[in-house]
This record gives sequence, structure tokens and C-alpha cells, in this order.
Amino acid sequence: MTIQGAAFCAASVLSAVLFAHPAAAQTKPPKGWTVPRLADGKPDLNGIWEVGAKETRTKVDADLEGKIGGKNIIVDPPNGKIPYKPEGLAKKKENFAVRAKSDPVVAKCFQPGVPRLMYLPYPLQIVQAAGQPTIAILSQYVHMLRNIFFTGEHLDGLDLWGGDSRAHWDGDTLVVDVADFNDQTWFDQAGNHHSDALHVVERFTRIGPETITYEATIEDSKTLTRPFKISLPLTLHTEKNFQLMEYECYAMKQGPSITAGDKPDPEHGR
Amino acid sequence: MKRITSLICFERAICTVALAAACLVQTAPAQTPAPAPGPGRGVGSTNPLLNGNPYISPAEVKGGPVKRLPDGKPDLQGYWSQRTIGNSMSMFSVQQTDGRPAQGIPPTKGIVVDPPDGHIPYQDWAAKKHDDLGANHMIEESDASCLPGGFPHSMYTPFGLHIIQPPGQVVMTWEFMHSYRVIPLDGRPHVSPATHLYMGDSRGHWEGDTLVIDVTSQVGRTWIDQSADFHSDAIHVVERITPIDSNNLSYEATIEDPKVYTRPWKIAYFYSRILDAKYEPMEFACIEGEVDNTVNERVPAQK
Amino acid sequence: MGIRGIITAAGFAVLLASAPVWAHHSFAAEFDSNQPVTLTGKLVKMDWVNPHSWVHIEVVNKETGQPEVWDVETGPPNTLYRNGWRKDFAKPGDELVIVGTRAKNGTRTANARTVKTPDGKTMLAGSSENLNAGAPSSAPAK
Repeated sequence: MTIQGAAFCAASVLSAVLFAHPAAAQTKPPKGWTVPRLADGKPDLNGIWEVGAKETRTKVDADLEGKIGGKNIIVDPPNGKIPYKPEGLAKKKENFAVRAKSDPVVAKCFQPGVPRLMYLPYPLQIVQAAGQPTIAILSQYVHMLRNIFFTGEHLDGLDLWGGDSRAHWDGDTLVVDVADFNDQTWFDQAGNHHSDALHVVERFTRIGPETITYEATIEDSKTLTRPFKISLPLTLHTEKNFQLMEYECYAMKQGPSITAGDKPDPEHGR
Repeated sequence: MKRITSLICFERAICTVALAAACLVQTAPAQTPAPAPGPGRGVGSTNPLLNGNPYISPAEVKGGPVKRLPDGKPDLQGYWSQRTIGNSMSMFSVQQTDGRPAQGIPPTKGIVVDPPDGHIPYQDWAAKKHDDLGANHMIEESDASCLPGGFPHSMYTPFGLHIIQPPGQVVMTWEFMHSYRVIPLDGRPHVSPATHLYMGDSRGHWEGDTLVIDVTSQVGRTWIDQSADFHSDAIHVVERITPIDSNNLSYEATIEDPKVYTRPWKIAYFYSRILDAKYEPMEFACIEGEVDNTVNERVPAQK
Repeated sequence: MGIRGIITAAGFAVLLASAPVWAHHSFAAEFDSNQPVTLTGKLVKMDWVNPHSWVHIEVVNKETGQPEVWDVETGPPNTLYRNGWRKDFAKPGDELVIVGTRAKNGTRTANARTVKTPDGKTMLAGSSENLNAGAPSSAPAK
């Protein structure tokens, strides 16, 4: 190992020590387990994942200020609440009052944005190949697709529903910087919202054979007094032959429903 | 902190080796060049996707030997653009149009290679329905409703095809409609025939250097193109993708549907690798905020 | 099934009522290459949406002297961005010069070939009219 390599390794271990949060580790890595790696040495995040456990996964999207596994979803600030400016909080309350017809996901089947896509109660697949300049995230919800680029820079004048994602590896953690958002999405069904100044930094760390710890630091200079941070487990689907199905909510009015929810194929998905 | 430190120390030997391996591999160069940063991305490119008209076919650029994955299979990864006869209008009409404009597009040779006359072998009732759809029901055109196109339609949509080959699978994604499909290579069975999916259900295997993809379980709602060429939910597609060199793929698909066609028929064309480093797939938000219908209230319904 | 539990019956009803269905169209079906038009006027607003973005521009009708708003179709946002458009390409009230083609039905609708912004920059508008340029090579031999 070169001196630079040794320094990098030391920095990686140090950063893992400094930035790991006790509440973020939903489980300890099992004894003797090492993270599987692709041919390029990067941790293998491939698989079909879904937030939390079967019994609790619908609760996260219901309210980001709620709890999962007995702990606040929002790990910082410690009170588990979004640190809104007064006008941001007023807007949240307005949204909450009209959420049945205004929630862009539940009412309109629109794109959920980031981080909401990551904790919708639908399976999502991380697609990662050795040496490739992108990682893709596919969701069963309206065939959402995130392209996460290891190259290039954020866009310079376009507002996107899902933001623009640029990533790098920080040791064994995938760090994704997401910017260029529009102001159209909500964080959850409770009307928690953001402006086009939203900036999200995600951290994906595989901490066990069936768990990725997903953390996101969310800042918005227009709506928040300071950033806040969420931490959630993404759990691997291990059912045999499990695959993404389709949830095309906007298409339902056009004819016979085509989702697996209507004709479930328990051999393959849900 | 103490708990975390003890965790690190307990696993230290393994962690150190793992991190060391990661560090060493970190220095490997990226396999593709970084896109040019900053404003004007794409402007001035000769690639039709990036300069004005994404519907025109790219030029053919010969490549080198086919790249290979560690297991010896062809490495088809990267961004591709379809290259059809004349231009990329196959999204508009896969059939040849007998020298006439069809649905507002100029005459096209299409991409049907079998039957040799370039036409889809419709059953009689289906030929009548095709004409009726084209004359009176263009509102049912499936791209217009933001529906994922299914197959083979998705393979010739504009704006680029992305192929990724994680272990045991081939994954394709498209900027258009932000569609994707996952093609397992492990021989698992198809989903139940009672399940119908807009993007169908794909299963793949290699025959030499040809990726063979079997697609079942599609819905009947999607069209083959934007010119009222339709199918039922009994459609079955078998595709064959063969690399010619590092920059070119050949693509053919055999389409059968006993409810609609008199026999199987076949399309064939090529893909060119997108060589412009400035290309990146972008977001495609479809149902969110579209206004064509509002404006089109002043435009007569498509006849 | 857990997913369904989230969407209430009321939510579904709203969804069913509001989802838009619209007719896509090709350039030649809606616009006339033989009716070029140049529109010089003030930007009212722009809708960055798929499958076509729309620039709404207020021009002064030369015959009546009255202002009127035209709706001008461009390519989708991705094609615009790749041709140099940015979300702040112009502010409402800025003067634009749009060169394009009129809608066949005579309404105040047009398809843009190029748009010139106050800084003098002219950008391609991602029109699919250019498809016609590809026609000769795809027409069957006589």
C-alpha cells in the first residue's frame, strides 16, 4: 500500500468512527461478516431493498417526524422534529390540512423526490456494476428511476423532481449529493415540504447481509433554520425469485388495473 | 463512542484488510471519461441526441474488439442510441409506409424485416382495427398517456438506452418515460401468466455472444409504435442482441401474438454507442404538470 | 395488502378524476412548415414540461394593435437543456424573437424552430420539425 493509500485508509476508519451515529446502527454487523464486494472492490449494494420491516414500513412515509423501531426517524435534531422557520411551519400546517387532495404521491401519483423515494413502502432495486460510472436505483412506485453519477457536476439551471445525484465513495459508504430540486414534492404524507433550495446528502452503508443503513442530511435555506438528518434501515428482500412489480397509479383510471396488487404473484413479488 | 470504538477494534483485522483492498482498487482509472462540466452541456455536439433533433439516427462509427466481462461474456454496458434505416423514426412507425406520410410523419421504410414486404401481418379484424385506431382513436396512443412502452416499443424510444450488467442480470434503463427492465440470467421462471405488466417480464440467457431475451406478461394497452400498431396481452417477444464491435450492436426481435397477427414477424436494426462524453441521461417527468391537453383544447382532435 | 392501506378511498377518487389523458401529436399533423411565423414579444411564462415545453409570449397584433398571447411549443425540457436553455433563460417581460411555424388550425399556436433571447443568443428549440430533413433517405426508391 502506498503512503497515500495508507492515509486514505486511516481517514476512512476515522470518518467511520466520527460519523457513525449510535442510533443509525439498527443492527450490529454480524460477527465475522464482511461486506461483499464487486470486482472493483466497492461494497456490493445490489439487491432489492425496502425501508424497515414488514410490520412498520408504511409508517415512515406517513410522517417523517415519527418513529421507526422505537427511535425517531429524524436523528438530528434530537427532538425528532423538522427545524422549520416560522413560514415553513405555517406552510406545513396548510399542507397537512389539504393532504388528502394535495399529497403529490398519494393524491396525484407524481414523482416523490429524494429522500422520499427511498422510504416509500415499495421495493426498490439498487443496480451496481463493477467499474461503471453510475449506480441506478429502480423503484416499483411508478417505475421511478434514479441515475446516480460518479462523474460530472450538478446541472446549472434546471429544476428536477428527483434532483441531480452525484456520488463518491467515502471508504465503504456511498455518499450521494443531490441538488437541483424543484419545490413540488413533499417529504411525507403529513405535508412536510421544501423549497427549490433543497440540498440532500445521502449515505448508504451496508452493515450486514440484509441491511443498508440509509442516512440523509437535508438542508433548505428557505424553509429551515438548520439542516436535519434522518436515519433508516433498508432491508434486503430475500424471498426466492423476488422481483420488482409495477405500481402505475396514474394508469389505473385508463382501464383494468395492471398492478401486482390486483393479480398478486406471490412467487415473484408483491 | 466507546461502543463504536470497540466495534471497530473487534473487527479491526477484517476491516483493515477490506479497507486496504478498497484503497488499492480506488486508484483504478474510471472506464469512461467524465462529461464536460459547466454550462452548455451538449451544445455544439454532433450527436443528434445532444444537438437539436434526437430523432435522427447517429452515424455508424466502427469500434474495436468487443469488450468482455470477467466471465467472458460480452460487456454491453454504456449508453446506446438506435440506428435505423434513414433515421430513428421507428418510434413513429415500425411498418414501412408505402412511400406515403403516415400520422404526420414523412414516408419511412420502417424496421420490419419479416414479412419481407415490411408490413405487420395483421389478422383481418386486426387490420381493420389498426386502420380505425389510426383514423379515429389516436388518443389511445400509449406514449401520450405516459405509459411505459413495453416491448419492443421501449427499445426504439428516443433519448438513449443505458445497459448495466450487475452480477447475474442485465438491466436496461431509458431516459424516455424513465423506464427500466431487469433481465435475470439465472434461469428463474417467468411470472404467472395471470400477471400483466406494462414492461412485461423479461428472462435472458447467452447463446455465444448473443443475449437472448424472452418477454412475456405484457399488458394489451400499449402500442408497438405511435402509428396505431397494436397488440394484445398475449404478445410474446424474443429479442436477440449481438455485439458487432465495441461501438455497435445488432438487434432483432421476433413478435408473436396469436390474437392479433397471422404469424410471427420480425424487426431488425442497430445500436450505436453514444461516444460523446457530454451525454448523460436526464430526468423525464411525464404526467407531472403537462399542459398539452389544455392548449390542445384549441386544436382539433387527431383525425 | 399494505400498500393499499395508505391510499384512502377518497384519495383514489381524486386520483381517478384528475389524471390527465392527452393526445400526443407529430409536428406535421399539427403545424405547417409552409406557414412560417416570426413572433416578437414579451415572455409571459414558460412551462418546462414533457412531452413538449411551452413558451407563452405576448405579441402586439399588427392589424388590430392589440396585445395577444401566443402559445409556442418547443421540444421537451431535456432537449432544450441540451441545446443551452436554462430555467432563467429569460424573465417575464423580456423580449423574445421566436421563429417557427403556425398551427394548421389557425389558432394562436406555433411550433418554435429557434428562440432569441435579450442577450442576443439564439437557441434551437428542439422542434421535431427537423424530422423532415431525414425523409429523403427513408423514402423508398421509385
